[in-house]
Amino acid sequence: MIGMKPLPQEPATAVTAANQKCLRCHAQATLGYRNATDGLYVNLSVNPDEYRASNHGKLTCVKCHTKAFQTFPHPATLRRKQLVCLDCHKKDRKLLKFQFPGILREFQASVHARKLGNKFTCFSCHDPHSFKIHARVSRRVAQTVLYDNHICLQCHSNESAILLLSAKPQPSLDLIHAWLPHKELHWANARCIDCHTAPTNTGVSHQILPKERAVRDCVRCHSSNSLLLQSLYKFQVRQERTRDGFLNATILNQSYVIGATRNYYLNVLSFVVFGLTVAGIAVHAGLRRHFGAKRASEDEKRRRHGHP
Amino acid sequence: MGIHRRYFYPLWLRLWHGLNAALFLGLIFTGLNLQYASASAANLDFRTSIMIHNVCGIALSLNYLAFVALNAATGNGRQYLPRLKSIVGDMLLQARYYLFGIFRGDPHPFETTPQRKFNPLQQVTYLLIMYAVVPGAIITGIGLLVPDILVRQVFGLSGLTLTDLTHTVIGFILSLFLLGHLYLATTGATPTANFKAMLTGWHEDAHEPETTRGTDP
Repeated sequence: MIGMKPLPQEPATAVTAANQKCLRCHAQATLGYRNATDGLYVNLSVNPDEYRASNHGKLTCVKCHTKAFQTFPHPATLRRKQLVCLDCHKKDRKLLKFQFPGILREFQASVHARKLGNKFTCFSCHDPHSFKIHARVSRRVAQTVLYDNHICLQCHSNESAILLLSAKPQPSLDLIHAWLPHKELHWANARCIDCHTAPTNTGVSHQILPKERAVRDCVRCHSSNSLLLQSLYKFQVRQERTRDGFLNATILNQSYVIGATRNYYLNVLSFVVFGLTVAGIAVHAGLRRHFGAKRASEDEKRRRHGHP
Repeated sequence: MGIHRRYFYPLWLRLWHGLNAALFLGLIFTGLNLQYASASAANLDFRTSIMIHNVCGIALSLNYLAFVALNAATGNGRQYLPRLKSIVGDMLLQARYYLFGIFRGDPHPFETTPQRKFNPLQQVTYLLIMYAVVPGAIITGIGLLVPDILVRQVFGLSGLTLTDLTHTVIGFILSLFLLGHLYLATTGATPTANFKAMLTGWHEDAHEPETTRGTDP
């Protein structure tokens, strides 16, 4: 699931009224149950405000959950029906640009899908009732970082969530990132996925890599051809290029990355000034040598002619 | 006629200068490596560069503190203070020497003495470099070493970006200074005389200095 424009809409008031019937129960914060088979908690609660503000906020509940849910109590058979994002996101032409089929392929190749199989779905990370498109539209990289990292930390900073999913304890994030200089600064300015995914052509790579394949080579990001330009700054770079036609402005105004943050004009100016200084010294040294040699030969001549 | 030697540079000053020079070179080399970081084989490993840059930066800062303290304790700090009354004229005189007189083989316009080792241009340049530019590099360097202490936003610009930009520009100015410093050091009694003086402490003059005639140690 990635950000999307809502499907064809019913009028907002009609949506609110239709959803109100569902939210009479589902707005309760504690509504949910623990699945007897896998022990995972199934959260049935929807925050109405978050839902309305989300990218799906203008859809009626039954757009995704089928009209059979309009009866109460809901038929027990419905519980088995697993929703899939691509049911809508594959068919709608307006949503093609979000490349959902590509995202699905990436997800299937990700460590999550490979190791956890059916236990891990789009909804493990993306709550369709609060999801908001971020990386594509945000002008503030820091907010995108915060939003996206929160998705990972829902499980990766929650020991019981990890135990339920993988039956392995979560290693301390501090310890496994101890090698990373200024790790808090990295965490505040780059997303987990910027190092932990394989670069792909979709908007946001969903191919989460096993931890041993995560980026550890500093210059992958800290260089003029920074990996971040293909990931975190991908959309920023496009926007800024269109608006300013100047790549450096993006990087300079948004963040600071050693080795990648270079101001083009300062760079050129520094080469020119340095070159002129070296040239100035070379000319001065050359003149000193020339006149020195001339003086020496005149002295020699004078000595030969008997003058002191 | 002949080379005349006088003891100018005490051991502490030569040790400070040597250490400062070595750290300077290490910082410029690793600084360039970080600024123009790439995966190319010509570049030193990024993490090693950071480590060396940090260690050299901290060492240079401590060395700088020692320099300030010893300058105050020994009175050497006075060498850096130009004569304010005639500062502009003195600097022009020295600049004219570098631009014209040096080619004609004129004598240096300001005789070097143990009380006045630097010419007016040196005094002003060294004063600015040692008491404004180098402290600027140290302060911005500390900011980059411990980014948590930085102001986050300055007029809408990231404090980190601004600090780094200042640090980089200062580093560049200091590199230019080093170039000029090394070149002008060749303008002594012989091209290598000043380099030798900074190693041995003994300053050489092409002519017997008037102010010290008969008082050589």
